[in-house]
Amino acid sequence: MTPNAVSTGSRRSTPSRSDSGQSRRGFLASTAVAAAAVAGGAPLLAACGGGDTGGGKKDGTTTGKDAAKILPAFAASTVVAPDIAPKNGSAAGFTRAIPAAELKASVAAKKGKGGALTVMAPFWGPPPASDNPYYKAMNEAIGVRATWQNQDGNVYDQKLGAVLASSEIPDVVVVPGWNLGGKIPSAINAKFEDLGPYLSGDKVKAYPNLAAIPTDAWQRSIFGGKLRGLPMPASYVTNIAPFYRKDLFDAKGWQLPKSADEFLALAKEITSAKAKVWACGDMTWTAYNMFGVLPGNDKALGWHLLDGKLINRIETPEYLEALAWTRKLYDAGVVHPDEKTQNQGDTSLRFTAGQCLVYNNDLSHWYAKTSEQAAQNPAFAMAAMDIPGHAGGTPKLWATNPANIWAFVRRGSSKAVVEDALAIADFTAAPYGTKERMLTDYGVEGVHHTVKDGLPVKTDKGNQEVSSSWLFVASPAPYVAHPDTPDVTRAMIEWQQRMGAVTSKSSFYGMTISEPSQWTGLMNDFEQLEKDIVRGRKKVSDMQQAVSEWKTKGGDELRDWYRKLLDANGSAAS
Amino acid sequence: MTRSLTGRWAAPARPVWEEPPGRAGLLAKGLLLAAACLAVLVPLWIVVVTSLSTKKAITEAGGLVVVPRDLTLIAYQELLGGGQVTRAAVVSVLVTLAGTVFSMTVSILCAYGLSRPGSLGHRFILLALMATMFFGAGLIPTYLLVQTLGLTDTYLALILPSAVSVFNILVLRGFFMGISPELVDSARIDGAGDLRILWTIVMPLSRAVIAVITLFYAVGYWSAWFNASIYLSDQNMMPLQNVLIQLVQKQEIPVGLGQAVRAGNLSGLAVQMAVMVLALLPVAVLSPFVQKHFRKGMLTGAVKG
Repeated sequence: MTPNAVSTGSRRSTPSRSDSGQSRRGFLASTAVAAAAVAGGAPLLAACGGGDTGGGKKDGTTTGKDAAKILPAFAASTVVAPDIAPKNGSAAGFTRAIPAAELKASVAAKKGKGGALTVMAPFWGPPPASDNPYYKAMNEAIGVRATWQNQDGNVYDQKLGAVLASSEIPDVVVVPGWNLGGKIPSAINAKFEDLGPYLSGDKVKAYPNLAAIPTDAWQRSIFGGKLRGLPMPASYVTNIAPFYRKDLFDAKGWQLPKSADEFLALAKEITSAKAKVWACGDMTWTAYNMFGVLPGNDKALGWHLLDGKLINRIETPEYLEALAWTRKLYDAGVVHPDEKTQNQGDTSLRFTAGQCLVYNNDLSHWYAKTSEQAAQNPAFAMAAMDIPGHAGGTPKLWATNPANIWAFVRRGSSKAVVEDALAIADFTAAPYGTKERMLTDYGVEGVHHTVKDGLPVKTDKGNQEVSSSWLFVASPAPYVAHPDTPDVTRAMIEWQQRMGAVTSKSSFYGMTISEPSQWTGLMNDFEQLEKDIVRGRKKVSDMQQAVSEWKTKGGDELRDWYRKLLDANGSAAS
Repeated sequence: MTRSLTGRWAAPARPVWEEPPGRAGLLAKGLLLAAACLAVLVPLWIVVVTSLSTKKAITEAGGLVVVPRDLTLIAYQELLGGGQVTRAAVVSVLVTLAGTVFSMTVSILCAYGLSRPGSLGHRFILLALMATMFFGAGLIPTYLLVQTLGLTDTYLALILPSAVSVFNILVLRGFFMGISPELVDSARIDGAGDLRILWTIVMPLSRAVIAVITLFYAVGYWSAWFNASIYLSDQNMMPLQNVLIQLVQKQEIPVGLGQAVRAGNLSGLAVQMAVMVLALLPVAVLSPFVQKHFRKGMLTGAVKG
């Protein structure tokens, strides 16, 4: 493990890339991001789309007019003040390591009742043994006997479907947002406990770390009209950053582009196929942001009320313009040739090799690549450029989901089991600078980590055993903490704050919406079509044709359905 | 003399491809075959070289490495250290052996029964079997069945749900039906029962197809990972393919990487390539030994039904 602290915001946010492929890979890439403060978004709560039968409704949104009764009260954590306060939806930043002796306690006493409970969560990599010393230390500190069932994250959606259909559901089940397909949302409503009686309003104050979770994230955790999920908060600011090789840009005196045209002109100047240098990788995600295309990583976020009409991202002129511009980059030969073939290698490797000088990915790459290259190439420097507006000036960015992974408690669990699950959540949601956070992220000192130059460094045992699974049960408000690279930490937060300042919320921001099943596959072919168009295999007019077919096959009906939701619930658009 | 014959006595002209190749033809054929070989060998070369490359070499190459430089075994050490790959390999070998024996036993008995025209209800059974080729129950009912039978978290869950392939039974049946009935009849007159006929006459005559089907099953069990992902929770029971996937995923995670990955020589890409080499090795080693049976077995099974 690297000698630095972590950022929990990291693993919980999927990249807000604007294609529809929300994926585990993107989720894994997100190692540092942020999320933020609840921004006081107006609660949009209103039950809609079918009555809750206790087992949950079939479809609709999870918000309701009675939200105030459901949502937990917010009480910001004051345990440790961040070095960079969150603003405009950014994460909080911590640029220094906090010595073990100065770590605070955010949980006054063991909250667990000592009960046994099983927790099922996705896992990527070899899971540690279920009785390993780290798990034992966590159980001991929380006062529970949690047994983990770490499942292969690649097929987690299938396992989830099978387990939820069976009669043997674990006490706590983690569900990532990208697994909310098919019948999973209705199963969540039917199979998991309403946590409202334990957390709504001031009740949450019995769990101070849960009370410090932003309200936006809780709002996303309302399923079937009930507060069922324990969230991992995430920043609503886009975390797809266009990175550039700062060392090479500075050496050549290249100025950062301020518009789409300037980007293309600079890209032509940079590209030299003879020297095996190309300007960029595939820039589709950045193009969407430059042109102000509505988000594509969540179906509901892609709808927005504009001039009294509800429109989908694929119907907007900005969408076609972004595709056409990205295609221009390919046509001009400024995109690395390997990008023509999808999934051809790792763009970030070409970036560090100096074969392509701009690429876009999750903001966490900033830290990951910088620390990776520090030993190999000391001259290496990278940074994220501010996303330019396509015609110059500032872009119009759209907010992404403020939470995208939840833990649920099995329906019918005893009060003791629910309280033990909440005890785990309260512990793992402890903020940076606390003993609970240190144990959760680094395990036991001397066993799982050692302290070197004031920074915790994981041992081999720590790398094997300290597992991110605990974070899935709940996490604190997002933060970035890389005390080994304080400059990068600061730059990441400041980038988020600048981008956050030009971010708006689309009409269904913050709502968890289950579309009726007959329309869930309507958008399936668009991602591939986007890829084909920018690479020149299909024409932009093919997209217009596809949009027209989408409308007749159910898009217009879906619009009406969303419109009813909006009329009933109001909007968070700003 | 042939050259001097003209007119009506001349031999009919043969198509050019039936003529003995000239030098240009030989050269073209040679080049074509060489290109075909290279198309197979170059990717293999790149995989092997990348698996043996340091992180620096991979970074400088911008990905896959073609020209070897700074070779290291660190990726293999990462995979084979710690004992989990070794344990998983033992699990895979045992599951493959037990599964293949079980699958072959069931498939041969079933195919033999269905190949005898007089066997009771063979048409109905054949249709029922074939129906499963077109209609599957889906994952959730299968999971519930496996769970109800108490097979989750047992090795049987890696064998039973996919033990029998109807396609393989049909191939075997086709082969068995092609065996001369006189041989079977004479054995029966000599007092042999069905099992003896199967063991002493049918199976020895079907060695080629049995070798091929055995290979199919064995490769299937060796490569399988999905059942283990769904039905097993205990990491110690995981077969090789699952552990290899996990080890690749471990390298993809930016936070939580081993120290060597972040600061040292180990590249995630090298681990991926090393995994490919390890996964390919047993099949690549075994294939030549069954190759000789392969063509005959496949052709025979394919044309007789």
